Amino acid sequence: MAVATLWYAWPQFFYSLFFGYDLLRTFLPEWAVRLQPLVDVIVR
Amino acid sequence: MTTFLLWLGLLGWLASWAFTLALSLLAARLVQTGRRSLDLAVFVFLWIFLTTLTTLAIGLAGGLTARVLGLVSLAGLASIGLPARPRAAVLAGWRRLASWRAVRLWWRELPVWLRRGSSLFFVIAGARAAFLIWALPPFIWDSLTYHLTNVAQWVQDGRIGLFLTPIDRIYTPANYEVLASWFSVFLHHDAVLEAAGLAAYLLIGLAVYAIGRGIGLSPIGSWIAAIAHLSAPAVVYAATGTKNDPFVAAAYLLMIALAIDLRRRVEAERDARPAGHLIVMGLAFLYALGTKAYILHLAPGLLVLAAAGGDGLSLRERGRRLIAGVRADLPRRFREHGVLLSLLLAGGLCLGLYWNLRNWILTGNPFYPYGVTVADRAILDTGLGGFHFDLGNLAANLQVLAAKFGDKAMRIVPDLPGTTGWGWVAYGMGLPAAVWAWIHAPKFRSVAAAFILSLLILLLSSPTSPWNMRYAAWFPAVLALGLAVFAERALRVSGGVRTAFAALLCVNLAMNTAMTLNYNLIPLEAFRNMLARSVWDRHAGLLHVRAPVEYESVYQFVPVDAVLGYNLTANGFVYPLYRADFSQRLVYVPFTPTDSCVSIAQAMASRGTRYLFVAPEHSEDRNIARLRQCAEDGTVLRERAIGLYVTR
Repeated sequence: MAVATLWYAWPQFFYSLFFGYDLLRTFLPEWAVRLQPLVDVIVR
Repeated sequence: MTTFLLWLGLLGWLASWAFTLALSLLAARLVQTGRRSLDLAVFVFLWIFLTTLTTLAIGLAGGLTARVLGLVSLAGLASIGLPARPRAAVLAGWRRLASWRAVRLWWRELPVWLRRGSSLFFVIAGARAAFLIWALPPFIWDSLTYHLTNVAQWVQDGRIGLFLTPIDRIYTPANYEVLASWFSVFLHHDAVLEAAGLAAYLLIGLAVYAIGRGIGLSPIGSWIAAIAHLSAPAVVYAATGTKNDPFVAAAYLLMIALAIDLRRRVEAERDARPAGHLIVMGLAFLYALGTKAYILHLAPGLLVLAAAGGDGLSLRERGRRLIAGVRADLPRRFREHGVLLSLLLAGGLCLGLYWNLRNWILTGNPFYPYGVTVADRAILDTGLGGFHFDLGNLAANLQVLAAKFGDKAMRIVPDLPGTTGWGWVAYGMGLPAAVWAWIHAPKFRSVAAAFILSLLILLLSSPTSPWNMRYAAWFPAVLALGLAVFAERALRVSGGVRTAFAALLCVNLAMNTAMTLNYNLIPLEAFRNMLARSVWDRHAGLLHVRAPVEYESVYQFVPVDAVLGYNLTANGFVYPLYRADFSQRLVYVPFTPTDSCVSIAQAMASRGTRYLFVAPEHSEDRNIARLRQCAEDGTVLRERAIGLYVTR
């Protein structure tokens, strides 16, 4: 189950909680927000 | 809205709540199952059913107003509350369902971590739902196009009926829209309209719990299954997303729960008294049929439950017992409560068949505006697409499902484009657990087979589209049940395994909850804009998630007492034009790009309006271009604001 959770976490974690999510993005530091295009490329 | 009217509406709503709850308690006594969790689910279903039925009956008669509904409710309450027999029946029904002592005992049976985890989950889920309902106007595409267009026009007219609009889908079965009208008519406003879906959400949770109990899970396992399914983003979004799919999912899951319990009773007892189960299953099917036709595709899954092997009884013997039971039980029930049961069944036929019969009489096609194609042969052809029953369609849909599986393509948002929306618990824990449960738990196998058959038939016939997984919001329930079967075993072994399982479940629940807080879609700026306004002024066209900025022109420049003309396509947003309090009168103004400016102005004048609204993506580009030409020409029309044209 832990493996399945990790499998699901990629890329849903990024979509859901980190970069694709405006509400939390508001609270992220500027340097983290700048990484968004990079993460988009990796995820795709 | 004046304070007096607001209070009057609230009083009427209170009376209607009391009346519909009392009526549901009365009806629930006629169809008791003897299993508390199932009886609770049946009670919630009957409330949805009877509230929709009374609203439909009064609405069709032209009384869809707070005053009429309130007075009818008061009269109904008096007829139930004053005579001794029905009053005693209602009170007995209440005592049976709401036994706080039983709830307390049940709650204490749960382990501490589950009590704490589920309390936190429901507090956050409740706060989230309440905040989103209060803060945001409706914004889902289909709702702004046709679901809520029906609601707004009916509440404005005080009558349920058809009206002139290019949106053909107002013809589709509309039980959900009737219930949503009940949530809007007393305040004459859409402030709490989204709350209608919470009734289905509650029923979904109770039904999954009852299925768990039906397949022999303990209260702990069944509770885990219910929470796991209730956390799935597809279910959470749909509950407050003004969609009708949760009602179909709830009816389907209730039918599964009833079928499992019925099978157990038929196998265990010679006098199984099966009529109550069958009546509620029939009512749930009819309710779903009058909500969205795809319950026809899901229902065959129930046959698997009937056919699956039981405790040593052959299928023939079970069938014989069922028929004998119905023959003995049905006349007995009708002797005791003939009038009420007849009314209930007539109400079911009304909710199930009214919309399709109306369409059949008016258009010659019960499924209008959709057609039906079987193996490439059009049985009913409307030119607007529809249901396709062929293996090619199944293969295409399975390919689409494979691409969506695992929610890898994009973030999960309410319309579910490119994803299944089943979420962290279903994939991270439910999927491996369901595979384990399939191998180790025979009772789970027949339920899982029923779900899989329903899914396959749905995919055989559903139009292939990026958004079609919203029809399968019930499916993660089987993964949740698989998880519960596994949990029963995991929680019995050593403390370390138990702790790891509990921790993983809590993490996955937290992840599911986190992504749904803002529908994974609404920017913080949009919340700020909405919260800066009074709750009464949060019009759907001000939330620019789906609606373009053109809609703001209407609120700024068209007087509330004027008639507003619109020229939108069959997939355009009409609902935001009504305003949040349904005060704006609308009229459809058709024209073609070859019409002269004078004839367009005449078309507006003949329909009693000086204003004409158009918007990109929602109106034909050529029509917008024609209006711009007329405005530049300046003889009969001018552009008052972006998207809004006025006759000179």
